[in-house]
Amino acid sequence: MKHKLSQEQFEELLRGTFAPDRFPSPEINHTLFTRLEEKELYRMEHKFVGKIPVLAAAFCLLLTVSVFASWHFLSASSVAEQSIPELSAAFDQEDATKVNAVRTQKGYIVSLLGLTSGAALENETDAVDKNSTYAVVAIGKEDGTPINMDDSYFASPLIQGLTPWQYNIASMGGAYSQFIENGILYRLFNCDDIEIFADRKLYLCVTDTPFYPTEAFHMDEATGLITEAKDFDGLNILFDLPLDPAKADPERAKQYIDSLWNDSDDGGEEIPSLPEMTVEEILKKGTVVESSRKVLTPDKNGMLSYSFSSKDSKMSESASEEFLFPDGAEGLSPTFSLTDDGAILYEKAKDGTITAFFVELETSLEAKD
Amino acid sequence: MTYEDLHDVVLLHGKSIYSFCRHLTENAADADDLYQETFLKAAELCHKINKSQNPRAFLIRIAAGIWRNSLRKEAGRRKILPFSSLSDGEEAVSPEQPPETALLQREESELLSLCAKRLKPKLRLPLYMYYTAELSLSEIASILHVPVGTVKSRLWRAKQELKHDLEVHGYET
Repeated sequence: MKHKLSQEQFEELLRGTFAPDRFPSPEINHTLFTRLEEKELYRMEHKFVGKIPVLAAAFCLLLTVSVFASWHFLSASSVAEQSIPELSAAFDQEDATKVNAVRTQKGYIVSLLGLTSGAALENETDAVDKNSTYAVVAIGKEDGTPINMDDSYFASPLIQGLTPWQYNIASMGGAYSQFIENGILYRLFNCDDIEIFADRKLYLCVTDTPFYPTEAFHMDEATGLITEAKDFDGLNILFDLPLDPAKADPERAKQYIDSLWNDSDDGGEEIPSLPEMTVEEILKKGTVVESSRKVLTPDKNGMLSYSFSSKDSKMSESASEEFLFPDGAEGLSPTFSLTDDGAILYEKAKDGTITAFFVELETSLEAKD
Repeated sequence: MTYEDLHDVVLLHGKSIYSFCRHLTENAADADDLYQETFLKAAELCHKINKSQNPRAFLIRIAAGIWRNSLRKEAGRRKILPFSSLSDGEEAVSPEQPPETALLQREESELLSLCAKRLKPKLRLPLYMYYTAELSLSEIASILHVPVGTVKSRLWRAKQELKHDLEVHGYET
């Protein structure tokens, strides 16, 4: 005999089953607090401890930029020694990429000190992920003013042909640790292996923002090449990453790209958001509300916002053009937003204008629930 | 937010974050690790957390990110959880309920919990974010970088799949 569950009982079961009713054990919290305190002590120990001597700074500015780097920046392995000691040797390996490139921009001096793969380590260790790429950057001020630990910086690899706002350290399994020594910020960061993309042009971007700023860099849609935006108000440096193209693995690269944003992390097939309905079906079954049509203009962050009040509800949505039209093609976006009584559709015209409009559905998918 | 504030956040939101971690992971040890890693990562970013906003959403974003990364890295060696390993004895039985009702509810919860673990991450994350982390649809949309409508549809899809799984196991929904 089947046990019957009403809609209310099912909802109650959901709420009961997934309710936040698990407490961390006191031991776990105790360990956590200890680790947090250790982390805080470490951070304080590595904060700025003294100014760069004025004479030394002046002397350095007379030297070429690359000499400045060799004189005043720690080596990548020294930085790793202070953050992940086990990784230090990897930066000294022969196949590590010793970049040591230095750029100055908008009052900053930034150096890419080194790049290596976790796989470069001969001995496996839990502290180092062999499927990650590790890099070290140094950020200082040209006038010798010390960097403040509370200032935000963003450093990330970028990949030719992959939209920077989607494919950067934030989405690519990134992490970092950093400390300040002699007023210079040293950041060791890692992300998923980028060597598999070595047949493309690879970059490392550094900005003075907490997250990836969409307006800091441009990607040429035809070539996929990425460049610094000249009019960006802030630090937006781009280094070339000279990785050996022989290390590229296009097959793995393709799989990685597919898995990153298709959410098929567990190897399963992609589930479309609404498998039962396509944009075409929505148009076929619903009624377009002509008064809802609005031309969307991107805000300073590149987001397109739409709002409309239908007879039953008020809706508002926000999404980027890259999200709605990932391949840049004109026509209807395959992505749409479902509301309680219909769907918001997006359309791109030949001249690039994007319009959103509302399609009223008598019984929306949500209403079936 | 300072380190001291983060201690308060642990005490204030620890239960919610830990429950979220516990549902995402397959055992208590992994949940402990994910929970700790979440706060340690938050410690690195605590200067970016605005106390006046919702730190729970920020922490859930971090936890989900760490979990997704671990999924990707361990994709080749993840195992399907056997039925017998689901119950870890942590679920309490309400003393007010008759034993048979409590037992039935516990069985239903165990079944639903197991079914949820078989959902794809795309559907599982919004489910736990909504019911366990108790985030709003717009907060979930912000974390997952998708429109609110997509969050709704993923939740709907998750529930449909759970209903279907329950039906396979003899329930009529």
